[in-house]
Amino acid sequence: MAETQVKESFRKATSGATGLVWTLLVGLLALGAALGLLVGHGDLADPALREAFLSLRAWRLGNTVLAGAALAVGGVLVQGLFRNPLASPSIIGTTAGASLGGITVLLLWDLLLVGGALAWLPRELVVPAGCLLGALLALLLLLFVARRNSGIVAVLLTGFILSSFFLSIAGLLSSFAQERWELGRAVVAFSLGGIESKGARHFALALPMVVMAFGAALGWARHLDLLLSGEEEAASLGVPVRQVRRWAIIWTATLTGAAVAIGGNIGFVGLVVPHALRPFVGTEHRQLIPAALVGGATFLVWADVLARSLPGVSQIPLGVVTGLIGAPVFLVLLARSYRAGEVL
Amino acid sequence: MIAGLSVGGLSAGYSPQANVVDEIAFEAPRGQVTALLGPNGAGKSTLLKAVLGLLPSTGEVLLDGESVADWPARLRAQQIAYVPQQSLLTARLSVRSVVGMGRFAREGAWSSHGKDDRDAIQNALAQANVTHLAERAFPEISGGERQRVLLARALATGARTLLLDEPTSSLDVRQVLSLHAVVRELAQQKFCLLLVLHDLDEARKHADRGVLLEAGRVHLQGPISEVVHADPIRRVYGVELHEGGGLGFALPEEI
Repeated sequence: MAETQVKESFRKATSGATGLVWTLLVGLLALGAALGLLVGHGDLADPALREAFLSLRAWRLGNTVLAGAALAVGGVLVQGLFRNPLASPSIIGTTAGASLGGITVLLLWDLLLVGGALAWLPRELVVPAGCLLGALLALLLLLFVARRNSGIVAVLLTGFILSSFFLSIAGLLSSFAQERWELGRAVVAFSLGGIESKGARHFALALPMVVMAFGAALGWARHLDLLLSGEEEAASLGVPVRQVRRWAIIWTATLTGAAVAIGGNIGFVGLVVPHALRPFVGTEHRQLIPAALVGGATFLVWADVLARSLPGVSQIPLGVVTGLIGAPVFLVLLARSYRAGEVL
Repeated sequence: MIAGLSVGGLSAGYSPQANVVDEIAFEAPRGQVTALLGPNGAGKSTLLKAVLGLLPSTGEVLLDGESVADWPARLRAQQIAYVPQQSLLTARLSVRSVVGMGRFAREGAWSSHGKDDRDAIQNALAQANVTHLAERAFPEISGGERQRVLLARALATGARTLLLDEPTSSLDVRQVLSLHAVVRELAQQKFCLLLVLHDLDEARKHADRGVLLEAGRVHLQGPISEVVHADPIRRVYGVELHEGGGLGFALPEEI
């Protein structure tokens, strides 16, 4: 009897902790969002400019929320896919692949369609599709090179090499693009990323991608839990392993593609956020995926507030802030994995 | 037709060109403990995976007279459960969650555990003697306890045919005996049990039937006392079996 009571109180305590985490996440997101609207170099006291500033900041905020949510959920998916706690879209080359895809599409669009029937279409519309395709190809290439049962380090190393390779190709393409002024400007604007320049159009394009991928990821949550035991055990328990892997890849690519299309190369969100959340909400994907959605948005909104409130500089790129936080976290996690004997 | 598992002409391997097991035929009747024996590399684990449908294979696998080949993955998982030698699971899931994985094939993707599921999990925990571990994190319990949790997960599937891959290889003698006690109880409840075993002495003590593999083929099958016997053991393992007090094995040159 006493044992049952202890268990019951333990369960209540832990579910209380989960509730607290959710309250904290939503509270922090709301506070970050408020600061996101208020903080910046424009003067809100000027009634003539006030509305314009607020509208700009609101779209920036919306895009930041989407990019953060997408990258964190993408992180949870690749960590489940590779059974590798150190994987995230930026570390395994998916972000770089998406970036390259975006640039390639910009270039192709310009070369093939100038004066063509589709020339009226704005570039912003095709870039997300390119990012999605680039992310998808990057993931498939990674899976091809580092077999799915490869160790943690093999996957990370392959991802790192692929990432460098994609960035080099992107650099090469950018150089070609500089030969034409208009195209060069578009490519540079995209490569430098920067969520500050993105508005309603980007938001409207990315929103359905993120919502769809989030819903789908949640639908596969239970399957992903079972995949944590490895493919053989999962299959023996009735999980259609190949199907889950295929869709996990597609939804990760969709999320990364959406995030890169609106925010450019923002690293480490997919690593830091799930790691920070697991001790509080647990490892089960039904809890982790929604928590990552809100946690990722919160993390990036605060990173953005930080990026434009540092003294002495008008603003620093968002990817710099996430890198400054994420890279040390990654190293600590890697060191911990070494000590635990998980990395050989 | 026998009640239980009946395998005929089964060939399987990790690539289509190279079969690890070839033209395998054996039976594992319900209500008995059948030991799958053979030296390292004889194909015991491969055979187990082929029966589970985890490897491409040709041939026939019948369960209670019905061919499992066309069963969808979920139905197969409801009927035949697998206990791996070691789980790859390192995530901090509770023992209850791990056992709950066994319910996957019987639940919808969106629904959480209903009363039937919760009862099945509770019964499986009790049957494998791990109820006291239910709220502990799976990676933090001992190897022997983990093996019993994996058995509980297999029981939670509701399957009445269990395939266990070297379930006692990392257990101490007490844990081995307690695992076999659970297995015996299941046999009495008309479960069909097929165990890959390394230890011939253990097989002789705890199994009813034996299937002895040699280089991917069945060398002999039948009552365990006939399979773990001087002639077949000498032929397949190259060791002399001598009985006296208990069973003992030694290399021929040491005798």
